[in-house]
Amino acid sequence: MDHPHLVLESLCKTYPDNGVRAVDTCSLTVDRGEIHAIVGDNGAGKSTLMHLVSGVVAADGGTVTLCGVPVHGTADSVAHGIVMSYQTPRLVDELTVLENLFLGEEPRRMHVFFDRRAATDRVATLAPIIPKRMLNRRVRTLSSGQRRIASLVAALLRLPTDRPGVIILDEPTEATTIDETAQIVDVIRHTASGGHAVVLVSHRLQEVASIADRVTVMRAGRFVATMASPVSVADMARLMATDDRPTARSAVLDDRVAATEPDGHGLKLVDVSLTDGDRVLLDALTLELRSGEVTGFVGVRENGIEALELLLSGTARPALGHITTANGRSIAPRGRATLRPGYVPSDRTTRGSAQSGTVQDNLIAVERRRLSRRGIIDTAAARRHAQSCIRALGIDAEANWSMRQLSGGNVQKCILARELAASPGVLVVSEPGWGLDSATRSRVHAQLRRVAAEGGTVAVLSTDVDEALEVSDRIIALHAGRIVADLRVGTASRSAIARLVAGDPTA
Amino acid sequence: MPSIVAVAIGVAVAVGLLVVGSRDPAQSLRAYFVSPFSNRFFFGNMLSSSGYLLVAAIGIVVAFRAGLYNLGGDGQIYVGALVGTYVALAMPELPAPVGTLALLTAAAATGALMAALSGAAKHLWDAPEIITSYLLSAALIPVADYAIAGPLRDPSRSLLASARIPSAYRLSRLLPPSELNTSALVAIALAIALFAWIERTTRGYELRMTGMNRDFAAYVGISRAGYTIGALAVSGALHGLSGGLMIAGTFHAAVSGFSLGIGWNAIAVALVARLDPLLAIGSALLFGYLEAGARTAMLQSDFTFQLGMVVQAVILFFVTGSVLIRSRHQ
Amino acid sequence: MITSILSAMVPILLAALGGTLTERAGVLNIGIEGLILTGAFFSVVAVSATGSMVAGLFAGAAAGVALSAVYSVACIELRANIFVAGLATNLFAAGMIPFLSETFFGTRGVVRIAHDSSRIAGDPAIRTAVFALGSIAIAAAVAAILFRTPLGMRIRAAGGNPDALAVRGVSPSRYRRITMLASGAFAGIAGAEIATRLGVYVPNISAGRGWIALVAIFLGARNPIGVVAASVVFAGFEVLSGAAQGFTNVPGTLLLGVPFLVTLAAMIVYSIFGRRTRIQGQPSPNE
Repeated sequence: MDHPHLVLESLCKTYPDNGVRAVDTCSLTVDRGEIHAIVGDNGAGKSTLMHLVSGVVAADGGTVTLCGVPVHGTADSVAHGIVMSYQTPRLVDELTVLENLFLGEEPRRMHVFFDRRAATDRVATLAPIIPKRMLNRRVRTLSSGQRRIASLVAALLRLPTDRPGVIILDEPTEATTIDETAQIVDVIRHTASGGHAVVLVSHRLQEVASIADRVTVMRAGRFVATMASPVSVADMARLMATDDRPTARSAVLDDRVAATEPDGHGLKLVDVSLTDGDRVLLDALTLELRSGEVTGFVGVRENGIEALELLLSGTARPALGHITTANGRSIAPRGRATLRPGYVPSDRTTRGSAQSGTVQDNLIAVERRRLSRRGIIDTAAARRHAQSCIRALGIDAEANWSMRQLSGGNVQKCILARELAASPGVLVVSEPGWGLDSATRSRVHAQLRRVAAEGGTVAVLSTDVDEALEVSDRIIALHAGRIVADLRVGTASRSAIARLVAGDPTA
Repeated sequence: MPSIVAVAIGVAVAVGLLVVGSRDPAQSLRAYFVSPFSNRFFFGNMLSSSGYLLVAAIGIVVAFRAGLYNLGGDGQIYVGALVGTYVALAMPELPAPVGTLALLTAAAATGALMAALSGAAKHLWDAPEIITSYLLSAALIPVADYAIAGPLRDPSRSLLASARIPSAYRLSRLLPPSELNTSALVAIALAIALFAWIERTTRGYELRMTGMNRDFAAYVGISRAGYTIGALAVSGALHGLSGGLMIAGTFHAAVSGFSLGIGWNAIAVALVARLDPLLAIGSALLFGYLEAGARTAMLQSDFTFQLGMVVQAVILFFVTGSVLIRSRHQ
Repeated sequence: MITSILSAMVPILLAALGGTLTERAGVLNIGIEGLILTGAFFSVVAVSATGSMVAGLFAGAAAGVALSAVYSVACIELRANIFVAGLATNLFAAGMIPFLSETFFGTRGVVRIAHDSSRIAGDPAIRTAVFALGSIAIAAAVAAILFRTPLGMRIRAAGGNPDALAVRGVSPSRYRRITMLASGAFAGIAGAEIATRLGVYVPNISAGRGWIALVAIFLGARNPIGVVAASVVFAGFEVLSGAAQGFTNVPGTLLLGVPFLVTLAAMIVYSIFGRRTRIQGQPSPNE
């Protein structure tokens, strides 16, 4: 017991497909019974770090040791007692909660049957957070908060009972209700008091401040600071940001807004509501997106941002309320009296692109009719169009390559290039910077600003506050399906917005 | 796995079975591989049946390229042929080309309607077309059997068959005494046209995108109904047309069960061609050759069984290891 | 009437139970029809050789397992498209059986059991009771396996969310393979039951029961107990359309299509009413 509990020593990871140094020589020690939080913005490298510790991703360099013993790979880490609860719960909808908790390591009765009683008892002893009646419900019927709890418990049950282990929790309180959050916090405290080390990754800085023993701030793949409790939200937010200048673009901005006619071709949302089971995703949202400016929506994806993306792009219709353009048209991907907005979806491969097609197939999809004459695709024009898209965003591919050959960042560039080329009046972009290096990112931002400058209405949905600030004229923060702030960029500091998104009402 | 390997394995199995099962393997093998080329009659018949197969196969290409499974081809061919025959018999006095055209149109329309029903059920209610297309076809085949054996039967013939269509409506022979007729040229023309349509036109592009990723197609504003109901309708029309061509070109009357099996064969042809209409020409010739070989091997030797089916089955087991069709059942 | 419905239910139910297992594991088994055919043929071979009906059932099951082993290798190891490989299974059975029949019996058509077939089949009433109760007991056993055992949990996970199974270190392919082999055995026994009941193998003896079984899976809500009910319904229509030849003047050929038409209607009715709505908001009216 002389060895420190969990030690990360100079961990490094560079992803070969885009060359991004996701984790850059990170070293850390976590003690038994400690709750150690890791905070940082999207893309700071937290997820990669967690995957390195749990062995899902192999490190390029550095070591993970537990009680002085090096750990390699998933099977090894589980055997050593390192368990992980993922951000997106890996649960089977058709199975009951109890079955999901024990899937793969089922207690048996008479060698054949699943021993429900033993399983139930084990949950009752080790993780009483789940009420007994919930155990026999199918996962399909659970709210996303309940799913988070189930996923957390599945990890707890795999912790060793005879010695201290490590539990890694990736955003355990995302998309949970206030009550559920309180319960989860209790469980985390209880687990740590049992001697296990808890590594907690969370966007909710308020919560982190209240439960973590120590906090490590991560930025661009590096650990920038480790602080012991008490830690203030403001300190964390300040360290997370690249720099804390209250974005001083207001002068330029005001010029541009004045130069174009606002309210010309905006998008109007009236009483828009959307629910998922018993969870309210959007609660009677009423607002107007003005033309000539970029509106950035920030918040947690599952807490309304994702739903808003589907509605603004016309992919889904609101359960209540309506969305119309300035001249009264509704929005949809297709139809006579409707407008198809330019749209960069968050799922790049399932909706955003046809992976088995060529790059050119993908680039001409929206403007296929303009690139055709009498129903026949003008091959030369299509080729020119594809090549101009490739040049516009520096896509690292040829027009005739299969889409499958492209890295994630290049797929993203293809989608952006296609949607921008169609010069849309309304443009909805989810996470514009995902997978892009900083040079391309600025190029994309400049293009989005240009669309707005030319009189377009641009909505950017982002979980990355920095990016939203960089590209937007106006920021709308959503929390629990409601607007918690509606600000001109330049009037609010970055850390204040981050606190609003995290649900801190004092911001 | 390349198609050629799958075909080679299929042929190897055929050879194995012929050697094991025949009392005179040398004779059977000669009949199987050489006889289709032995005289004008066999050679012409082989080309002729390849042509019918090709039309049905490009029908499969249209459906599969749109990401849809049409398993009702057998019924669409058979019932289409029957309806075509009926129209020709009901209107015997039309000028020759119009009569032929009426027969073919009726056959194609019948196939189109049958397949479009599955398409509509898929579009409206998400009913799996792979099951409904088969069931509808299986339900209507006995109806066609009944019509041929009953109301439409020509009692003067010993065969279970309808009366013969007017001789003016029949397609002209190209290589007498074989059955080879102008339908083979129609088949090749259709394959080339379909290739151009899929690869060059806007609608062909929309069809391809739908087949690659239905969600992506919807997102860029491609009509879901059009490429579900429409693609299956075209697929069914080509099957029906194949049946109509068989009547106008070879059989000249609806004979009980005359076309059954060709629908399944067409799926093998289309998959070996990797769902490319131009390659399907070669693939149809290959299958036409293997079928003709199996038929003559059975006629000329002591040995009779469904060799063609076994070859197809073996090829199908291997061929899709490499062919990318969206598997929707995850 | 009830006896004939129960007797018609048995093969549909057995085939559908196997199909339920594969469907739960994420494989829609298009090859059931061919598996039934194979089971029927080999049961006739075995009964002719031994004079024992039990041997026939075993032979049918073994033949079904053998063919579905080929099918599963194509799907899982060679990564063939499951539907195309299923078609291949059907064609292979339909093509190979005449060859084997020619080789063993010198005929490629009807093969009669070489013994007194009524002695082999036994008293019809007792036989029906045994098979009907037996197949319903098997349905209960399949339900117990699916819903009460770790094996069943893993099968359902393999179909419901294979990734969730894989991250727990369990291979989904393994459970797909197990269910496909089981489905082969069940369909083989279904074929053997038909052939030993009739005392004869005739080409296309399965008469579309494999496809009807597929629809029975969905109509039974993918639950073995529901599948029993669906099989009874389809058996009822089969008996009815057979009996209709006697009391109506609708020609027999025409009635052969009725089971398919009923099944088609059932599939569509299921598609309209049977599915859960999982929609947040409504999909746009694209068209």
